[in-house]
Amino acid sequence: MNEEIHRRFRWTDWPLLAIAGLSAVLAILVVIYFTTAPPAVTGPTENQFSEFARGVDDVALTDSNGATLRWADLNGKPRLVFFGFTRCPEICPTTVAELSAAIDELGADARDVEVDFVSVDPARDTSEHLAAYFSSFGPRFRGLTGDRAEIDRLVHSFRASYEYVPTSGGDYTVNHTAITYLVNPQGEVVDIFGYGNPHDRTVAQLRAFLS
Amino acid sequence: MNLSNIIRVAVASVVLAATVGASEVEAQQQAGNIVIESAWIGATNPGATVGAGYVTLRNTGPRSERLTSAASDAADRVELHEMTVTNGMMRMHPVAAIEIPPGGAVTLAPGGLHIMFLDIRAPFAVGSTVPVTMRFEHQGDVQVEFMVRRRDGR
Repeated sequence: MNEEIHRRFRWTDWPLLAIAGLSAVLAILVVIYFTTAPPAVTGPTENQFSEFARGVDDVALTDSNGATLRWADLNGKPRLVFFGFTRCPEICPTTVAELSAAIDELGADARDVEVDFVSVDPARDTSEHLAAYFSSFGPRFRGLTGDRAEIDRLVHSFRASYEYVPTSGGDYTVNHTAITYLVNPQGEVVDIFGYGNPHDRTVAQLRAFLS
Repeated sequence: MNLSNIIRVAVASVVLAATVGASEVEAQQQAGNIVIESAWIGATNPGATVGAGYVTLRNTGPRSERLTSAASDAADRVELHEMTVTNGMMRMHPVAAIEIPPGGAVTLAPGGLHIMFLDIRAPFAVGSTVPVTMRFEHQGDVQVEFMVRRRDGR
């Protein structure tokens, strides 16, 4: 009788023991999961781009009218920032056309938004040239140029980059980051999208940004 | 319906037929074993000095064909380029030639291969056409009219 209750441990008992052990470990993990604080909720000022566009308030640039301004002077309105150049065959004109189309589609929701196109080819992109380039897009599109050193500070602060590539006949083209940065009125980057972002997604991201 | 109205309708029909016919010609063109489809150029912004053209090239022949260069009176220089976007960085480089395999096709499209027009003489306006001479290794020169279209699809 004693033998039946306290039977000797047999090798066939191992699976049972393993299941019991795993269950115990699982139970402990479940307890840990529910008792540990959830990850901090990402707020509008604590986002993954919070380190972008820092320390550039004093960056001096020239707008399409030839007026000098500081980067911080542009705060106060929601803005879409893009780095490009006017001798760009595709990315830049497509992005400008896309942003213009998305803004039109948003209508009144996009009333205040401005677009800042910062040239990474300031030697060729004069303010007059930028003024002509954006003349058909309305006053919300702003072309910005300036000294290479100042532009470089801005580019680096956005974790963007560009490089000059020699082409035929002593000419050069510019490889550059093809990202649109969504900058809130406080000058903080809150969202981004890349070249080729589907149109509907761009509209949805802009709607969320502007609401 | 009086005579002038009949004439008006007749003229409109002819114009419409011509327009439809023209757009079909623009949509597809054959030169030997090469079929050229949907040749278009993105409209340029005022003051822009460069533009990009796109096209689908089909090779119905038994041997490989190559697009080796392009030229146009609309630009000082025309080059074959390839663009890539990796990790948000756009890079562009000239390519010596674009291969069209026998029985295959290659599409020059936004985000990849394109015909690059440098120092254009006038902005590429929506609805206009740009004449381009495309030079193929075997087929030789082929004249193609590229249609200027909006870049945002509107």
